[in-house]
Amino acid sequence: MRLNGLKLLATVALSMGSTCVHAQKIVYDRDIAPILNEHCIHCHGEDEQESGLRLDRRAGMLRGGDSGLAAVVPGEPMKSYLVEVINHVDEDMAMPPDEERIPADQIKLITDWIEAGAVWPGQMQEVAREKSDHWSFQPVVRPTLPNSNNHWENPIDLFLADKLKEKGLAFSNLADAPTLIRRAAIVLTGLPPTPEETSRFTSDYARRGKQAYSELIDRLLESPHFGERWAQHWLDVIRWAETNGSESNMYRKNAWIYRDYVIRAFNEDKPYDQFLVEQIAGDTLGQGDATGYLVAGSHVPVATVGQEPSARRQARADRMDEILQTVGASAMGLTVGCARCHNHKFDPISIQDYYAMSAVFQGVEFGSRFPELAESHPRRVRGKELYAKISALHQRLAPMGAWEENWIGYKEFHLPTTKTSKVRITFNWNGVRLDEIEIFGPADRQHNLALASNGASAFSPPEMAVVRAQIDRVNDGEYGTQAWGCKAPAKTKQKPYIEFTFAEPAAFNRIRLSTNREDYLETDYLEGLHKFNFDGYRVEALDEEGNWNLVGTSMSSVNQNKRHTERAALLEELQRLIAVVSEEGPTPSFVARFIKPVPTHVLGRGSPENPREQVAPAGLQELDGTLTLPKNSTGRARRQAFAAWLTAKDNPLTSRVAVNRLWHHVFGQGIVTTTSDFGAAGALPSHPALLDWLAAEFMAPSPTTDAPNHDRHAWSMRNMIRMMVMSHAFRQQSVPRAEAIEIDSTASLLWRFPPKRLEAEVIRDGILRASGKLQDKVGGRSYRIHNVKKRYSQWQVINNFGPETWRRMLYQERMRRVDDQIFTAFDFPDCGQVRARRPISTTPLQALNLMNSDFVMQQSTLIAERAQEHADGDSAAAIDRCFELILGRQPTPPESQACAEVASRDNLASVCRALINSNEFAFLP
Amino acid sequence: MMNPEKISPHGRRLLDRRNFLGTAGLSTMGLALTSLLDQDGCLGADAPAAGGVDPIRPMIDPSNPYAARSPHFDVPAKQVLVIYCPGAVSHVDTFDYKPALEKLHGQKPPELPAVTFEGPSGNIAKPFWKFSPRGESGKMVSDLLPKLGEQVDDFCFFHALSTDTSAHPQGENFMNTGFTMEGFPSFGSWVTYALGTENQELPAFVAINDPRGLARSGKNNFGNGFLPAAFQGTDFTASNPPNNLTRPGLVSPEADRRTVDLLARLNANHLNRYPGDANLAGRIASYELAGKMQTSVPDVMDLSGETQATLQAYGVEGGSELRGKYARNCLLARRLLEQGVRVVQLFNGSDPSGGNGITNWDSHSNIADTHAMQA
Repeated sequence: MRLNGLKLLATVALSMGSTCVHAQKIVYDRDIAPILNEHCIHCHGEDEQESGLRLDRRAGMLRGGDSGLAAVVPGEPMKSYLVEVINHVDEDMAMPPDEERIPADQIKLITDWIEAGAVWPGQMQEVAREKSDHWSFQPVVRPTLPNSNNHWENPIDLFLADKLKEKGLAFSNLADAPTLIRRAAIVLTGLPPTPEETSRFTSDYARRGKQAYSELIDRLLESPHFGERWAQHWLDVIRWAETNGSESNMYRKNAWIYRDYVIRAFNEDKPYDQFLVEQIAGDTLGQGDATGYLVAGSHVPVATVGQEPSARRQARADRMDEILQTVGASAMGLTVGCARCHNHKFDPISIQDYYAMSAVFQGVEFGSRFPELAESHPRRVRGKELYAKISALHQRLAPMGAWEENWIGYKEFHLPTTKTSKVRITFNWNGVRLDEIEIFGPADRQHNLALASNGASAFSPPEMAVVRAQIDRVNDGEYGTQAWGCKAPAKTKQKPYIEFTFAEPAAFNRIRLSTNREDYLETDYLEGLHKFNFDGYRVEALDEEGNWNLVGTSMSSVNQNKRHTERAALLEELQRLIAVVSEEGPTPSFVARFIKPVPTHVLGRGSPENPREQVAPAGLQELDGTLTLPKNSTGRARRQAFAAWLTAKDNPLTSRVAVNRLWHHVFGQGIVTTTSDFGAAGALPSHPALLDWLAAEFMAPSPTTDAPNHDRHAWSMRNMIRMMVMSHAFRQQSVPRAEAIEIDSTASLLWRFPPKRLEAEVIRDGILRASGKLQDKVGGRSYRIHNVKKRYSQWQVINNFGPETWRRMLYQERMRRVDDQIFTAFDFPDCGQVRARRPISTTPLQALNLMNSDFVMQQSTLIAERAQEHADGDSAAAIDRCFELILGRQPTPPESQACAEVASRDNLASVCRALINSNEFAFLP
Repeated sequence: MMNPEKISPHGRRLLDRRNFLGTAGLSTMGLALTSLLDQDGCLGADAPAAGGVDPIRPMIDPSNPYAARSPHFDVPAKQVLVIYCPGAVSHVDTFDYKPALEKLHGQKPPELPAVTFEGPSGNIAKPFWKFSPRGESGKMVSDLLPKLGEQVDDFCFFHALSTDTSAHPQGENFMNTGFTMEGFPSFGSWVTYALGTENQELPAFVAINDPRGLARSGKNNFGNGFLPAAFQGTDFTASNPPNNLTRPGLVSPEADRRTVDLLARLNANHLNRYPGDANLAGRIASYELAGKMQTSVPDVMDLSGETQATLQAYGVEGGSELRGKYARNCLLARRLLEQGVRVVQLFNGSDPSGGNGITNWDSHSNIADTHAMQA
């Protein structure tokens, strides 16, 4: 449709072209203005700007309307959207609407006028775009500290106190020691303190006050649990999960190595700029696991998209959009996705900007790869160690003939090195199906001699062909369901076979065969995964005389084992090492796969069926986003250049968005409450000067502020957080004050520390810590609460409380849209769409889950047992201990008495069940 | 007809033909409620937007998020029942009479792409049932649904929705959330977010899944997306209560009561230390509501008080086990609505993996048999 339209337009334009060049000079006022006034200005003029378009100013014409397409491109009527719509190229976007066309001679006048440069006397200097005056796009300038309240040491308190004073408010008094340690421990590590930690701190604080607190903060910031806690926040922002979402919601194999990267980044206090660069271009820096960021969003797998080419284009555009939303929301604080179909309604993001950014990521695709890891990366180190052992075993096995290894998703057959031009593989089964066969030699271990694009060809007898399973699929380099099939005719002794002819004679010694290797690379936890639709096979090579000679067979293993008595044990050890290296070494992981970028076009109205001008990779034009890149630059070069633009110190968004998000997680509410929208539809900062001071301090820490002994590197998230939790604002009481509530009910000015209901993770982890069952292990494969499912069925929760699940909830497999039947009700994200921050809602389902679930019942019993053991038969002491373990304090006498009644009539576990459900446990104090 | 001059420019844009077709899901809510969309999904009011373009947001009391709220317009409809048929029902074999199909029977479809979702496209098939005019209106309905055909004069048909997607999960998402992608709030979530509910002792939004299981998009069909979890659909059926509704088996009712009382006492003490904190009070209220639900939900699920005539009319007995279970779900839906539940979503069909038109309406090559079976 669209192509036809363009052709039509071209015809129109050409037929006019012959006469227009030498025509009489067109005068805007005399020739053009009357046409526009009659047909256009009513809707696109001073009073009304339908679709955001103004045709009463030349600048408005150049800018175009919401569509983002320039209505007029001087000198180029073919590129001018105005010409297209008045010619009714697309019936759905024909102007004027519901009316006859503008007469042809008038269209011609407009076309000629544009061709001649759209001269509009008096308006030629007007530019299409003016710089935005919105606050967040202005440079970060470090404000001077307020001096009206200078008994506060911490600059944060200076700014806050100033604003409070303005409103007739003041900070609350300091909170007590148990409150301080509970608040700080939960905010910084997501775990409440143990009773011992609380009592030690309480007495230390009584003696040494702020110094004791400062040391507590250092301990918490250096705890490995700090990284776990803050990784959770970051994963939320980018809606990261371990399943695809959509339909069968398949598991993303080893996606969790990205989660571990994020934990490590926080624990190493990786500078924030580097943190962003690595997530966008970690493949260039030996941090390949970091690029899981790019594919954090959901995607629709190929099988669900179907085979219709337009549906495939749409699905690709949707995947690109997920990437842009991730980057926009997390790093830029902008709703970039709004510019997908038209210019952003509120912010200076044009549709061209959107597609220029999408060009940056054109080399990214949702899928798996072996991540690039630096020499020192723990996974790489472990892999090296294991591969050395595997290699040693290979050397011992080689003299005993060929052998087969099972790499779970594919088989690798090792043979004596043989030089040949043709290889034949004959299968034992009568019907076989393989998605790919690869042949390697000792010369270049990565060079696939059988690959079509390496010049090899494949042949199998046409009479054995299988419908829709043609031979070219066996060596096209594509894994998955598009496989080659071969079936021997019934009632014959023939067997399926295939012959590969190399580009030139070469030595080979390894063959890889698989039926669906895509599954092996991409997914896990499905029934019937990694089946091989072939069994035994023999491999022959053609010699120079034209004879086929047997090189090896996979079917003689038993005999080989008889001849070489140690062979069976060696193979078993080999297979064991393969399993270990597949888990602990570098392994295919769902952290994006890279492809060759194709040209990127602006997609009119967001439709892939409506491609318009080509765009070069760039950041936002509003923020000088032009990237210096060669034509046809590689995907990695684009991402590197973009990351450099994003993290440049003159980018006004990056640092502001980052410090605001840290603030949000420390104080419960950002200085800008819409933490992922710093645009005009987002909220204004409650303390603009404070935000800018923090942003400036983040990028260039001043040596004079708090804690001179600390490392003062730029972009240090840990130092920023430290400054925030050292403030009086953080250390003050949370008790409401009636007179203050009246002025500022949500405490957004921080006259008290605002208490809030804790997140799902903190509640679950806190319960496990109270029972003493929480495992301390940081990182690694997630624990599962779900079944191994059929490909097209839904995941089912089968175990959400057993000992296997007694890890921090950060390690619970994050499944899109799956209900864990306990903690999902506590506003745990469904990981479907970008959500800047978690809502906090209160529902009866939360109450039911926390009262009646197996998890809570079991943990109540475990906590009670632990307390009884500690109390050694003293029932009052046991109740005290339950309070300490769950709430971090001693009961008051009336509480103690009430609990004793329940404990004696029922049991101590019932007391624990009540305490777990109490508001005191569920709220950050 | 509305006088177009009385509609604001914004309203006109909403009603604009192109925009309408671009965004409307099952939900005209896709339109009206998009303006409620709070990107940050929080109950608390945000600071004013910088651009001065504040979305309309419902005023929600955190201590009672389900309190009934009045709509922006005066409307007669107070509750919503959606009978959702995953799969889905072939419109041209039921209510959407297309005589041209008779003429084109057996031919290649003109103007269709050569390759569609499942590969090369097949030939056109005429309806498998005869159509005839029904009721006073003469609405054409096929013989597959004779009983529903008798009722056509009481129905409103809207034969104008289409989507660009050919796949089940995206289609389900689109119908139930207005978007093909996941993670958007379902219509029931939007409605209860905006309007609360009349009955405070039952969930505001109930999703009754098919006896055969969840539909292909699972929880996304009744999820809260980025809205607060308070507005997710609670799923239960006539035979399966919600998760964790009942007190654990080993705890006696009296012991359970004593634990609940102890909890109330602990919370009261705590609240004394935070006088006037609405969030704490709200959480206490949610426990009281949960306690009421422990009685009200089993009550509404209990069909023993229904008359034999009602049971018969709904087909609870006398058919297959599946039919009986579905009939009970229908009856449950009615009872929930009678009790003032705001939104009920009743599923007639589950995930299509079970086969060609067996587990839901997804019939592919065998419409004549399997649609007859489903109907």
